Amino acid sequence: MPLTRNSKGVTTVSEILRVSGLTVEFSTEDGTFSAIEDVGFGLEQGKTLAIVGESGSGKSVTSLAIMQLLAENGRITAGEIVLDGENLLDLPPNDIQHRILGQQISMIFQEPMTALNPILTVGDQITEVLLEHQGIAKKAAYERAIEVLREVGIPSPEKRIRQYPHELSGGMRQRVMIAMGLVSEPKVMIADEPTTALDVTIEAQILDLLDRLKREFGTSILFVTHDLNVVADIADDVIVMYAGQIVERGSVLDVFEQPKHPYTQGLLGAMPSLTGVEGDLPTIPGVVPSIANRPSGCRFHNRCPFAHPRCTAEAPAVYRVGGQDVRCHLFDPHRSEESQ
Amino acid sequence: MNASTGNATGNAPVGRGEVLLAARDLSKHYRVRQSFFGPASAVLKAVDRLSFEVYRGETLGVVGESGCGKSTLGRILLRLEDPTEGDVSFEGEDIVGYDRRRLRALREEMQFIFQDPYSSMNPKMTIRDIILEPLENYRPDMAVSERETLAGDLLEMVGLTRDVLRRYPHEFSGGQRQRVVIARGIALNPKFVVCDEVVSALDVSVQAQVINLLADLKRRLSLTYLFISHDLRVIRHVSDRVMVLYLGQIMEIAPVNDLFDRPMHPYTRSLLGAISKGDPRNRQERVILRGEIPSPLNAPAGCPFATRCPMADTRCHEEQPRLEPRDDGRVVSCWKV
Ligand SMILES: Nc1ncnc2c1ncn2[C@@H]1O[C@H](COP(=O)(O)OP(=O)(O)OP(=O)(O)O)[C@@H](O)[C@H]1O
Ligand SMILES: Nc1ncnc2c1ncn2[C@@H]1O[C@H](COP(=O)(O)OP(=O)(O)OP(=O)(O)O)[C@@H](O)[C@H]1O
Ligand SMILES: [Mg+2]
Ligand SMILES: [Mg+2]
Repeated sequence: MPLTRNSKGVTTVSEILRVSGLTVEFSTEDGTFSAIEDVGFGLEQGKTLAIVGESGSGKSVTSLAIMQLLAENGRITAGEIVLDGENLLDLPPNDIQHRILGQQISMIFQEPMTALNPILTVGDQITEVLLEHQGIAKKAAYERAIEVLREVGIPSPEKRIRQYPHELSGGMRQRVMIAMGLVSEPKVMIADEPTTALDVTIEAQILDLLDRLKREFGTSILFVTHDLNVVADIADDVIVMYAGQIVERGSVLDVFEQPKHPYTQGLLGAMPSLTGVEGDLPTIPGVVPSIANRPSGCRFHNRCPFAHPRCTAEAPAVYRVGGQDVRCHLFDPHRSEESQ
Repeated sequence: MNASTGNATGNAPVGRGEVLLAARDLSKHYRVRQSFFGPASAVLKAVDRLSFEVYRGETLGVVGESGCGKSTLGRILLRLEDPTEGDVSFEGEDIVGYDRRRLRALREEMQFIFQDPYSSMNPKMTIRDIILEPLENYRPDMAVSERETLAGDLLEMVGLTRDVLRRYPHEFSGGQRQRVVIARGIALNPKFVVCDEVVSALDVSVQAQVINLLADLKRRLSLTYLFISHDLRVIRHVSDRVMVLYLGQIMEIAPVNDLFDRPMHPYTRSLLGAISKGDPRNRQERVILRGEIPSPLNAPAGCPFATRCPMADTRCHEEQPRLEPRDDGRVVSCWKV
């Protein structure tokens, strides 16, 4: 069964965002390479979907493609991005700019300093989207900004609103960025490694805040991270990416308790445990391949303990196994005896 | 797992062994400009009156949030920088007073493995030259062929192959570069190695490989590590004992299992309560600390953690607690424990 199984009409939860068959190519000096291929998933209303994977697996490219913020040399060559019934790839750029981005979907980035404008006050940045697109009066916009800053846990927001980004701590900047993303009450919030640069005590504050957004405002969150522990803590559903493809997808309980793909199993095993297990950590041999050196067949075959000849020769399809979708030959129901 | 030589006085509490290195009231204060135009007057206490021991054969983990002084501590222990105050003894000798010649000899025994392997390697040097750099300095009379063999041996010891000797750093992945830096770190056969965030930039799958490598080298070469990391999971996995720093001061030192199973200092408890547990079935309430980390430039008068501590009272804000050694081998700096 393909990853793009549509759950519409089957249950009462509604899907706010559906991505299917998304493929992005970059042209570089060494040629044209696809950074992500056939990426598909659905994000349900009021849920958190985590995309997890190691460096270079395509997490950021996936989020940037949804936001149509790919670098100059990048191009979406196939796929659909359907937000609340509209395929964003069919809309004129003008519409995307004025009606969708920052309004219905917003994004928070790993490095708040690069996303915040250093010469604008916190207040000016937060109100920008309201003033530009929603035609709200300046005074009302500032009041709304103060309210949002308070919601994200910034003390004395009336004072902070006049400050510049460099006057704030890292954790506060991240909260300002979340406030910016939140002020227009978007349906979907994409958070790309929003806590990776932060200390654990500040990370806890931000994760708590995102949890609250989901519960209190019904915001749907696409949470990008390389940290499986954070995934276990905040996600409802999980996508595991490897070398530009989704290799496993399922509910957080299924994926953590019964990981199916050998890569997911390896990742979970390689995490040092908090309860202190002695001896060597299980490892995945080798390294993540670069975009120009992705192996043929299954992209994980050269690191996989279960690889067999078919894995080198043929790219695996996606199979439904238990509650998960898994891209691996091991789960082919028609697998022939000699390949086992 | 603890160093178990037992001390001379007989009643050896947990984790005690032969002291390899000891720090007494060790401080590093930087004078910094408070504003661009202002006078260079403010004092930043990066490391403030630390006293602790490192036992031979153990891994002492050092954990704490960004800016708490972990790297500064590593640098002054190895005398890469001079402390503002305090003593460091290594194998019983005070090394703070060492002159250049004796420091040079000391550097063979103590090595630093840096975070961010890329910036600590010269991109124009081959892997061979990078690994042999310390040998060129310290073993100038070693024959070229002997050196060549040693470089190959070191590469194999860190899990790379001899045939990469003539390649350049940019041809390697982050994990491979970290291995090269480790190979250089052990080239002189040191006794004591400071590892500063050596796995922090690595992907999980590669991080596990490097952690295992460090454990293997420790066994084979009888090393003692000071292992600096902000990652509590990594600290739990590699350490025998753990030192928790906050704003340049020691909050708690304890054997690793005691620290994680029964944290005593409120800051240690907050740290452990803040991290995600990695278990989707048991999502506990995250411990949320109020307040921000104070600026190290105006560190609070009392306990440095008092501004965020859920238990703090007036005394905590006014008077600095002392590091109190306890019978069970732990030390805690808190009025409330
Ligand atoms: N503008 C670009 N030109 C060429 N290649 C690119 C470009 N942007 C990304 N890539 C490549 O696409 C792949 C996926 O990158 P992406 O940034 O999505 O990784 P990621 O999963 O977000 O990793 P990280 O955890 O390091 O952020 C990588 O191999 C990367 O080198
Ligand atoms: N050369 C210097 N001059 C002035 N201040 C310094 C200097 N080196 C470090 N500091 C300051 O000393 C404090 C401790 O820094 P240090 O680098 O030791 O922290 P750390 O615990 O290693 O942090 P991280 O986890 O971010 O690496 C910080 O406030 C830092 O800004
Ligand atoms: Mg990324
Ligand atoms: Mg440091």
